[in-house]
Formats: sequence, C-alpha cells, structure tokens
Amino acid sequence: MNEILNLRRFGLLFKKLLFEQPLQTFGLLGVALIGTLLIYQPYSLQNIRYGDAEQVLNFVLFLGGGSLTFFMFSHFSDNAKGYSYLLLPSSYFEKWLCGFIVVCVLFLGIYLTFFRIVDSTYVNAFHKELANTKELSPQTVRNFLKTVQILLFDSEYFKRSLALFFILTGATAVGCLYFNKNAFVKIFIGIIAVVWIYTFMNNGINNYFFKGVHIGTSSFGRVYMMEEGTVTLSKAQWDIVDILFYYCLPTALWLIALIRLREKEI
Amino acid sequence: MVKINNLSFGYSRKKVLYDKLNLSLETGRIYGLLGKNGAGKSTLLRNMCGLLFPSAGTISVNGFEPQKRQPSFLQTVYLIPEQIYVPRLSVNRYVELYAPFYPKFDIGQFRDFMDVLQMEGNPKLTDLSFGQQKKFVIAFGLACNTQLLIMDEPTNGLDIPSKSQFRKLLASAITDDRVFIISTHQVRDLDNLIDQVVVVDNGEVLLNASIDEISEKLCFKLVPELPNTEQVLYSESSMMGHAVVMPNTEGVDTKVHLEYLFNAITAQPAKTKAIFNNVKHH
Repeated sequence: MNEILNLRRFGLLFKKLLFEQPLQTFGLLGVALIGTLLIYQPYSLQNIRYGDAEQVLNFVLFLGGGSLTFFMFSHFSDNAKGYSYLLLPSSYFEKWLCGFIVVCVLFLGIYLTFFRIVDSTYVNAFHKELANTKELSPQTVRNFLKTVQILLFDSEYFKRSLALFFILTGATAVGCLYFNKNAFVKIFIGIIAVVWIYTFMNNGINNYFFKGVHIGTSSFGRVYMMEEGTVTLSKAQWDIVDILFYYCLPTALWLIALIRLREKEI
Repeated sequence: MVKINNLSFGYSRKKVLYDKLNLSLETGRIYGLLGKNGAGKSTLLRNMCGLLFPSAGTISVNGFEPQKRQPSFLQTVYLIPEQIYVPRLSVNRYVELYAPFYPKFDIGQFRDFMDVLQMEGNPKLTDLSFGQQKKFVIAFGLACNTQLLIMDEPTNGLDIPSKSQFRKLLASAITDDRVFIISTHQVRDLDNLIDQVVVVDNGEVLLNASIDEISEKLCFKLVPELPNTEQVLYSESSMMGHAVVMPNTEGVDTKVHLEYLFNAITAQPAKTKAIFNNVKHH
C-alpha cells in the first residue's frame, strides 16, 4: 500500500470533505461570488471609479481564501474532532492536499473565472456606453477607455495579489495547526502583528539610513523622500526580493503546514 | 500485538507522566485499563494510536510505529474517545463516507449491532442524544473489525440497559486476532467482560494479569470478623461484614471483584507486585 498518496483513498477523503462540510466549502464559495456581485458595481458614465476591480479582487480573495483555509484545517478546537481527523485512515499528505486543492485550486480557479466574467462584462458594457455617448469629448473618452480596463492576470498587481493570497492562506493553515483553541482570533492577531512589525521595522530602518523620508508611503525596497525622488533597490536585488515574496514565502508556509500536520499531537 | 518498551512521556519536560514503562498486550483478549484520575490512562491510549508521541522508548502495534500514522496502520485501529465527535450527517451517509476507509467493515454486522443497541432509522447524528451518539459510534467502531479497538470510558452516557447490551456486544465481537482495550472509572461496567486487567498508577504498570491469574493469586472474601493479619491487602466494611482482599494461600476459587482489586493494588502496590511476581517465578 502506498502510504503517502493513494488515489482511491484520496478520492474517498475528498468526497467525505465535500459532503461533511458542504456549507463551509460551497457556501463560502457562494458567498464570495455573491459578495463580488454586491461590491463590484457596474461602471457607468455617472459612476466611474478607479481601482474597483483590484479592491474587490483583493478583498474577496483574501477574506474568502483565509476563511476557507480555516475551515479546511481547523479540526483541533475540539479534541474529539481532532482525534477523528488524525485517525482517519489516510495519509497526512492526502489530508493536507485535500485542503490545498479546495483552497488553492477549486476556490481560486472558480473565483477567478467568475471574477473575469464579471469584470469583462462590466468593462465591455462601459466601453460600449462610451462608444455611444456624445456628451464627452473624444479625448475624455480615450482617457476613460485607457483607465477602465479588464484586470489582466499577467499584470504585476494581479501577481502580487496572488502571492499575497498564497501567503495568507498558507499562514492561516499553519496557524490552524499550531493553535487549537480560538485559532481564528489568534491567526488574525498574528497576521496583524506581522504586518505591524514589518511596517514599524521598515520605517525604522528607512529613517536610520536616510534623512527626509516620506513617512507612511515607503514600501519594501522603495523609499519615497520628502523632496523629489525615490531610493530603490537595484534590479538584481529586486529579483531576489520577488523570488522570496512570490515563491519562497508561500511555498515555505504551505510546507510548514504539511510538516506540522505530520507532527501534530493532540 | 501491542508492545511498549521503555516508554517515557510527559506533557512538559518537568512533569514526566511515564518513565520507562513496559507493557505487552496479546490478541484475543479484552483488556480493562484501570487507574486513578490523572494516572495517564487516556495518555497511554493516545500514545498507542499515534495521537501523542513518546519522548523516549518505542511502541509497536501490529508491527507498526503508531506515531507515523500510516494509513495501513490507521486501518487497523479504532478509537472511541470519551467525548465523541459526530458530523452533521445521517447514519447512512456517515457509513457511506467513513466505512470505505476500513477494509474489514461489515455492514451486516453494523446493522445487527445497531439493532442490539436499539438504534433505529436513519436519523441525523447531531440530532441524537449523547448516549445515542455513543451507541452509534460503538456499533460503527465494532463493525470496522479493526485489530485494535480502544475505548476510553465507553459506558459514559449509556443508560443501564445499554451498558448490559454493550457488554454482550463486546463479548460477541472479540476474536482471536483482535484486542479490545477499555479504559474506565466505572469498573462495575467491566464485570464479566474483561479477561485481562492492567492497572496504571504513578506512571507505572502495577498489574497486567488475566482474571484467571488474579483469581489464582488473590482471594476476595466476605468475612464476619476482620482478620488481624498483615496479609490483608484491602478491606472494606459493610452491613454484611468485611470484604477483604488477601493472597490466595489456600487455593480457593473466588470471583474477582474489580473495585476491591483496584483499591488493593493502588493501596499496596509493592505487596501486590511481589505476590504476582513471586508466584510467577515458581
């Protein structure tokens, strides 16, 4: 018997997961889709907003992904539930993979498909409206056409959102496996603490090395000065940071969750 | 079947619960695991099924190392904990989703066990009372036909008729290749059921003996006058006289009283150990 991955066993586990937690899996996905429709209003000449798509995507992706990960991995708030989960005859890898596939493949795939449909529908409808309007000057129309565009999945913004999604869900999975009681609150506090420490340290380091830093606007690797100009990392340094942020950190978090599940005691 | 060698375990480095504990459990028997509150019975059981990992020593169950929690090992173990978990599923749906994980699960047996425990229909598990949920889990656990079935306080929450049915079920389900371990405070629930007694206290196994062996080495008598002898391991006075536990020097055959046995062993651990070890050497 393959002790790591057996497709029949994995199929049984996946079926059990979907039937046992339909509200958490399908319900949450449904809420995410409906939430997108509610938050992401169609564009119109009377209602032009910039960055709407990005904000909706991030909000739903992070909140939905984080919540779904919590439901997939928080089996340890109650000992009996934890025993049942850990002693179910399937491997720790299969249990981890189930959660990973639901969150990072199913949820992400379905949500992004839906988002793309909504986004392109709204943007195309707005472009048609622009084409038919006679109230605006050609220059204004051109400006609107340029600024209100479908959010491209190969844009830097989207890549960063995706990386943050994997980091956040990975961190939630790790938190669920470390904290048995009140995991959601502890994870939330943990993430806030990390963001706060990062910001505090980033500002501290910037102020230590540079004078006249524009407080609150600097990001990792780029420092905005009070007077004109920015200080940025070199291309080679940025590449290293990108690799760490886009690949290493999400992978490390999800791997820690896998190892933690293997070593989980209750 | 279960071999524990020099097991050390503690929830913290300072507070060691077990230090070099040795225990061996054989197939075809129903073990009663007895111990005081906090003696570590549940901890020992959780070590056996891989929910907790020893800090030193080894545990082998059917040749498997429990802490690896390999699927082929987990298929051979079923734990019925004191507090049980049932998902929001109907009985039939639960069986449909969980039974395929256990290759020896027998649906016919499961239906029979449910009948014996007077569980009918296809209710939602979360709508059942705690006692009914427990009966369902007992029926399911028995029908999984795992080689090792561990029960932690299984009779908690069961009504009086169900306790008797539970005993009958267990007695009928034990086979030569299976081991049942029952940990409980309610030793009377184990009367006429177990054939091996394991007593743990202060992190060590004070006794691991069969009922026959206990009966051979100790006698449980009700006497009008309390004998003035140091040989009395335990005594308890009542309106009927004095119940005493003494070494069986006269070779009389008396029924083992589990509650008195437990009290005798925990009150006089050194003496009882000596009795069992001495006779063994002869």
